[in-house]
Amino acid sequence: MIKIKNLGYIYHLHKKNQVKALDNISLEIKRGDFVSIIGSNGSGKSTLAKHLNCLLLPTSGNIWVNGMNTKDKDKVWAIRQKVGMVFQNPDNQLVATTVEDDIAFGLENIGVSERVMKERVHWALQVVEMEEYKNSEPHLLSGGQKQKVAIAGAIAMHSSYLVLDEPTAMLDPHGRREVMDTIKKLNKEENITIIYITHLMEEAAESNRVVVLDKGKIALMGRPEKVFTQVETLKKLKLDIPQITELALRLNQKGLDISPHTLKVEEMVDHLCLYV
Amino acid sequence: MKILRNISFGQYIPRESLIHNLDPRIKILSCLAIIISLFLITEFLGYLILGTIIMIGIIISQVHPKFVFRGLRPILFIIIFTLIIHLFMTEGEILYRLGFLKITKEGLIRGLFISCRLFILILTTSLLTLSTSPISLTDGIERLLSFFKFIGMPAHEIAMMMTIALRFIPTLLEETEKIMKAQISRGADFESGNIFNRTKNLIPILIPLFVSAFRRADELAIAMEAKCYRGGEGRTHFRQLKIRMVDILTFVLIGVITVMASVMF
Amino acid sequence: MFICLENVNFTYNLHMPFETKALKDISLNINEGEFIGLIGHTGCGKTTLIQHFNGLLEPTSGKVYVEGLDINERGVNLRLIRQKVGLVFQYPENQLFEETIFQEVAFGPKKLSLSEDKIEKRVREALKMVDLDYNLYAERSPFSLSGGEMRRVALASILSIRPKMLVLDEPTANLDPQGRNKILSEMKAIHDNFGITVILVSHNMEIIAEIVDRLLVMHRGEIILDGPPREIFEKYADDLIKVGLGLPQVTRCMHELRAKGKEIYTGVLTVEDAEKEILDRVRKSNKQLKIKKG
Repeated sequence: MIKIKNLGYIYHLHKKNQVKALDNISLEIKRGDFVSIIGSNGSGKSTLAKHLNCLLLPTSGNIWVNGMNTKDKDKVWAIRQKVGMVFQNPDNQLVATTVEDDIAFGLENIGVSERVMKERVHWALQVVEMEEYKNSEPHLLSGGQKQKVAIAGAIAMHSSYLVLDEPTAMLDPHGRREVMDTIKKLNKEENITIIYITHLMEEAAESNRVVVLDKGKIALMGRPEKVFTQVETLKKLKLDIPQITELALRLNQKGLDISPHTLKVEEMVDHLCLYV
Repeated sequence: MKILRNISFGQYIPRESLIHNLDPRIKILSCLAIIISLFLITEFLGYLILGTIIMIGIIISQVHPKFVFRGLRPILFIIIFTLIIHLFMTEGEILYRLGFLKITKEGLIRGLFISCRLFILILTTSLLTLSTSPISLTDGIERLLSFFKFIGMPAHEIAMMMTIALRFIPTLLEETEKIMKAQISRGADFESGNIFNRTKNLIPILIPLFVSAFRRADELAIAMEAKCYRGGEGRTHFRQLKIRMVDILTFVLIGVITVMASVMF
Repeated sequence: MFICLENVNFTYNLHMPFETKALKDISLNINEGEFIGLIGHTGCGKTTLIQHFNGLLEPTSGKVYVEGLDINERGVNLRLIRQKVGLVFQYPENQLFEETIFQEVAFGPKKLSLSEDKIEKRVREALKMVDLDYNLYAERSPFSLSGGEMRRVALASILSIRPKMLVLDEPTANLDPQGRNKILSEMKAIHDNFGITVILVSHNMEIIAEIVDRLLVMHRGEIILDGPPREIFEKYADDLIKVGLGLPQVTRCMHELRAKGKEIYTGVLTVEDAEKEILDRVRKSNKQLKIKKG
């Protein structure tokens, strides 16, 4: 479990110019959960992500990963191994010159033996369905494939949490789908806890729980269908609402018996079949 | 812009050949031996022997000679330039006079000799890089350098830098091309003007390129740290290198030939 | 006709081991004042195509005419063509390099050897077009801005050369909804108020379809669909899905209803469209009883 208690983070732009990036955040993420964190640019979502594996340390408050406090210097490497990270720009996180070597990079760092390494790399490649590209050079892959390699690199270290910081922001719809499918598979089949940062509501709608950040504070939190129907609040926070939810809401206001908690096209179609 | 796409010097061509499968350390050391003897040999006959070895190497490697010779193209200018300098600048028996310029016999021989040296040098390194993947090349260099760890040689750091450089060269080349095109679209002109102006015109390319390279470096460092990178200590290797019989035989063969060639010629 | 392509083919690395055909026999007319969306996957050739519009790439075979002039003929001054066709690449903020925003936007006009007064006038005008206050921004460093603002400065630096046509490659990539809507509404305004021909290139259907008048769909180096967005969404939804581009959620919803045998118009682009269409149908059908309050 990841437990965040009263987390605050302040960074200094200049000597006197302080910015409160995170303000009194408390959150618990249970094993096997799929949590999405949304917010507009500057809401603090990336800052929060970097706290989860000691890339940043809290100014106030605490974070525990499986009971280990991120402030504990002896636990840094254990925590980083437990919490894998995938970043936004697929080009700037692959280190090695072939896919296989890149996936092995993290394993080499934690001193895994050659035999175990081979097994884990093979397994990770299989999970993200990239076996046929194992000898490819990263710069020849598509954006979605690069992100899958980054994901494989993280899970090869047997991390139980995967933090993805806007992994699809630079991808096309096909790449987005590839990454999202991979993540859902990891969550379901490998029981890896997913913490998914995005500003796309449609992606957040696929998670079990949504946390909406605004100016470093938690503005809303709950199941996607509950959060996304707070249209006024979301619009105020400069966030989009999935088209289908907005449509459901409008039809509901016009008197149609359609649940305003509709998130998926299929649900909408079923509702509408009764009318037209 | 075309130049950026045509860089083949140092590009790996995967094949399943004897040369490809040699241990990278052996290949690097053999190339070093050949290069050293290139500078020790003083007669053409010696170069003939070395040239023959390289040619045999190219044939065994199954890499099409086209690729090998493409690597020569950028260097051709330097070879010709060296030849001309030597032709005209060496004192000695005059063969031909062209105004105040004169071609001497010594110059001709010297020029051809140096050209041969450059030629074989490039062929040797091309064969090495064409038949060795960047990864095993850096692996080989790392292992070789770690012999010198006792004098404080940062073997792992050098190898890591090389890996990252190799990984990002294609990305940065692509980026350079894109920035160039973007600036041309904004009205920049890279093709006309004198040298001073042309150099000044590079600023709109170089600054964005530096900015992006620094940003990439920053992000990469964070990504590496997130994957538990903390230097070379306690690190294991995904790729193991093993010296086999064929490696030893090759090394001995090359060693004997180069030593003998250096001593005799 | 502003731009005309005739049987344009383009191959990368021609006669080399990694030869790839990027454009296949493309013929295309673009008229002055059009507002076009060019859509397709990464690698479908859309970025290659737009580089033919201002002579950054020369077709392997075929002709490109800008205002009737074959731009790849000998002796054509491509710099003049590039003034007419302004090309904005993806992530244009990555091309910024000057010390101040004024200098950044003045880069193009300076290359045209205009007088100081005229340059300043153009910078003011261009910054206004992207809704950045001259007095507040002119002397600031472009590197001190937010991502969305940097992108608008980069846009202004093209607008200041007063192109007749503006081609933008993924102008909204990696922006949050607010930054995205801002850029799109500015493009719309530039088209409507200044009569500039605009081509938006994107892989994101939802963003583009709403605002353009004409949609070009590319797939594997060919233009497979060309027409008004509504018509394409109505008649060719299957083709869009087949090439993996997908439809906006509301359009998909209508198509699925149609697939279930319901009579409904499927050429909807926006939530408003869908709402209106559904309410119309509900009224026409005999199931009014189910409307709660009437």
